[in-house]
Amino acid sequence: MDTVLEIKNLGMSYDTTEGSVSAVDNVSFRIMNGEAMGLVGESGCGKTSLGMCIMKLLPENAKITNGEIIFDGEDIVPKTEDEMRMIRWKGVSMIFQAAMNALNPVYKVGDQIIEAIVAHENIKKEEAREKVRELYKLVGLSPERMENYPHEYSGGMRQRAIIAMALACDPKFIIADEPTTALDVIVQDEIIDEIKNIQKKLNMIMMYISHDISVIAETCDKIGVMYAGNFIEYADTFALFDNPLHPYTKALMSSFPSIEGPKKELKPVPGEPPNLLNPPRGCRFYPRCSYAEEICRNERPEFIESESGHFLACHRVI
Amino acid sequence: MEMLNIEHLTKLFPLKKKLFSRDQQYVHAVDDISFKIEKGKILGLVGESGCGKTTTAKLLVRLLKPTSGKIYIGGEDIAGLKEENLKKFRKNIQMIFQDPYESLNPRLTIHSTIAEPLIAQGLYNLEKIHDALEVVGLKPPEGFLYRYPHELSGGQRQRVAIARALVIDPIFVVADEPTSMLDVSIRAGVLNLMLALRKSFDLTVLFVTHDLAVARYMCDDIAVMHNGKIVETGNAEEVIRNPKHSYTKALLSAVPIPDPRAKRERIRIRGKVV
Repeated sequence: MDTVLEIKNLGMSYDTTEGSVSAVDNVSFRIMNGEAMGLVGESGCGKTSLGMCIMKLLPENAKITNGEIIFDGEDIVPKTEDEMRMIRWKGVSMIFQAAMNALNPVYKVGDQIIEAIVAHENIKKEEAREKVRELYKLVGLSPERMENYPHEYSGGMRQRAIIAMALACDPKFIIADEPTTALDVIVQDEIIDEIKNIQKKLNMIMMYISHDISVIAETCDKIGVMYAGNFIEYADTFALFDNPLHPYTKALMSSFPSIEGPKKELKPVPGEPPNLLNPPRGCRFYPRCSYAEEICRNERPEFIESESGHFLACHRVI
Repeated sequence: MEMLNIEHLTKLFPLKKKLFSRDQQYVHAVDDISFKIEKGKILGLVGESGCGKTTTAKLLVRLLKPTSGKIYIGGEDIAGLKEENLKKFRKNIQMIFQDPYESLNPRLTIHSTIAEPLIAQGLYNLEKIHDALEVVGLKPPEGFLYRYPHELSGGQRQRVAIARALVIDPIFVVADEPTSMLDVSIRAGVLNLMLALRKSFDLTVLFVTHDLAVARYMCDDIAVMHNGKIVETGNAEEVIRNPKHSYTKALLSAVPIPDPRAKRERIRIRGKVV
């Protein structure tokens, strides 16, 4: 299987008036052909920042400090804005969070997607319209709805339109950033189902960002767990659920209620995530970790393969 | 003993009339519902967006006036109470809102926020504010009193909101999706806190949520709401393991399960909420 996305030692920081915040720190992973990778972690752990690095849609005060993002054999970190414009939408595309804000309220939804296609591909408006028609069918919307404005759509329909837009230029790689967070359980279920089917059908690779580990369990082949800008564990979905190794991953799993199995007491992770202006020197999780020892305070654990295909950054497990 | 008893509660919202139309049309937001909550129990009100959960919650704390029906709290019917008579009753019943970023006034310190209900009832006492902060795990209270909401994390803010609700010793609390805006690792802490408080204060709670897994964890009983009506009620574990109504079954089948081996049969619901 060929690797389609490979990230090597990626680091990104925001410059703020109070200092530099390292939001993504020394992250490495790969996504193979046809795979869906889930990215989980708490708010502010760097999930969305990582997605924005790959899209290179960073705000002005943010910069990629080191590392490589190899997509389709090429490192996209040194690429210019003009070159990126050719890669975005066609190469890498993103389903944004907050479907309420991602559409322009004063244009018809269909026209917004047509515009995106015409801007990136050398085709006529009529052909683009035909394409949007097909996309609407693919995501489960009726093509007549192209003539409506965003406020005439329900939340779920808007999210479907956003998915259609992300697929408009046949991307090879799609980043879904919390696509169902603002939605209801039933609508969430339909959208997850849709995304999963489309990803398999079009054979794209996907990075699915969510704070909800149960949604990831249902959609992804691999899971990466992020904490305070670091990748702390990365494994096959089954391996991660059967045998979570990092104390944070274990804690995250036992803080989730389920409707299946016996009723278990939830164990919250004590404390709060660290301030990234001044992260702990050693392991970033050590202040909240019940297994922490002296070494955890002083030395940053390396992210290494502890079992075949199971990567981990922890002093105490290996 | 029943703490809360709702009989045939209905809330209609008038729709905008069409030009020249004579008939006034209504949205039946809450449509003839009845249920009871025993003292010290937590009832989960579950359903999808727009099913009438929040309207029901607002009716129970009388932020909305019911169109018809009775709401007995501790034996007294509050459905028809006039505004001026409500103040006494508000001491007994409090609400915890969904979004701790919006439910706390950004210009009030934590002290002033929690003092508000006390002052309104003429019961101000610094000791009580200290106790309330301690009870919700914001320790030491002195460290929080003169801070503003923007200095606190989401979990801490929701704890402040809980302290504000509990400071005047209510007998009944309505919690409207109190953890849906919180992060996972924080959420478990707030849920556990609410369970502990229920135990120590013998609180009666209506817990509104769209998340069945959370409802199962928190509640003694569950009432499932759909299109303004309650379609199924029962013991929480029983409703989840053995749902009777087809809507409950569909709702349960849409809940993602944190286990990649679990296979769900999806039951699709036809038709949309209007």
